[in-house]
Amino acid sequence: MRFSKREIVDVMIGAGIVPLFTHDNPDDAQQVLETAYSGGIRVFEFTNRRENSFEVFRHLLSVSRKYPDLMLGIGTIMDGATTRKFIDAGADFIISPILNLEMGGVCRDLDRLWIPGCATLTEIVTARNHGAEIIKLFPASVLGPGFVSAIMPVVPDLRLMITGGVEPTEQSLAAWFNAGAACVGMGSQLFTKEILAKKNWPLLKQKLENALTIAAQVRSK
Amino acid sequence: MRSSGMIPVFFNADIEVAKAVLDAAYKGGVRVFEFTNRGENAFQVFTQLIKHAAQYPDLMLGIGTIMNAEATLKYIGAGAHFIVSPILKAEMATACQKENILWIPGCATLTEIVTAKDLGAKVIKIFPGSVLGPGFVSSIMPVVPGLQLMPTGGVEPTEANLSAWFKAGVICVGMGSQLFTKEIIERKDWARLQQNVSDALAIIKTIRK
Repeated sequence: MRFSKREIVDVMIGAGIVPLFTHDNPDDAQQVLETAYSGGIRVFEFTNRRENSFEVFRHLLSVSRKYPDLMLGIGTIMDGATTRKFIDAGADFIISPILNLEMGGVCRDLDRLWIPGCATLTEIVTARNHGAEIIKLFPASVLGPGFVSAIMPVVPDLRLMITGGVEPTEQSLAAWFNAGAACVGMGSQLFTKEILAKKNWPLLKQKLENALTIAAQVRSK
Repeated sequence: MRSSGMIPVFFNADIEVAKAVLDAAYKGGVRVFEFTNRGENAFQVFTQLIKHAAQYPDLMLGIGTIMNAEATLKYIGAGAHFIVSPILKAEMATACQKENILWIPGCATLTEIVTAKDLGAKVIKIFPGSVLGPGFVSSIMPVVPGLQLMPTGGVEPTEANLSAWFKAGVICVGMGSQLFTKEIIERKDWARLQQNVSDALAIIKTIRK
């Protein structure tokens, strides 16, 4: 294990943005990861949404060894067995769109950060009682910043990662951070179809830098 | 369910009204109909409705608003073709599996949906549909491939509303009070009801082209 859970949580919250991405081509995935790193990203979520995601993830893990301060986790994990498989391969953290307690148990046994996806306060508190230090709110655009501001006073010290429909704009980021988000997950809004089709890595780098800058500015206000 | 795209959801304590609504819906093109267990005499009405529906060999008549395994088994015993619930209750899955009857649980979060799928649900009701919205469906479809979702609650028989749901990826919609308006029921305007039903089905057909 290259990083402690504490270190990963600190970097996620420090940066405010965790990019999430999937691709079935290992070379393109590597380009995206390295571009993200050069744009200032230090914590990155690859998602398990394709047939060959495990192979591509293993390739990315080998690439990430070049960057000793890059944390690479896996998302869209749905059960305990897959959790164990990706941790054995070297995933630094595990993210899920659902609350699956079996996954929490595997992560606890293997001392790895588990970020379950929740959509109600009952799910959130259940996740917390089972050891989740950060909880993903999904799909966030359906719940909205009002959901976050309503529940934050009820559950103190809650750390929410907002995912689903978050945009890399001042308006969107300000709404979520002002509501009390610890960090946001961002996928299709950063890694747009157009950027990927044109392999426009300089533009991607710029987008990521801008997003990190906006997040920092919004939070310093 | 998938081919027609719409399941009417209806309850009335008066068997004659229930029969007339079923007849009008059938004439309007409906082949899957959900009666709901929402009144004290719902079971009696449903039993008679099942007998009445025997004249339509291609009509599937199920029961909704079922909350536990006991009621599930009772209605399956009475001849329900499928069981719909506004909630996710595991014991209902077991009961339906034992009787080999389609179980459609109601879910409101992705965690509930995946739990329902793991328990064997082939079709999952999204409830209350209007609170979650088409955006909920389009957000979760890429995450769990192959989901068959049926939003219910606040779905409107308009092109704008239906097209938003179908574009988001649902396989069918449940429609109740928007279709069987109080006015239509009070006036027993069955011709109008038949027209509304067939209009809604036509809109869905156009949208899906």
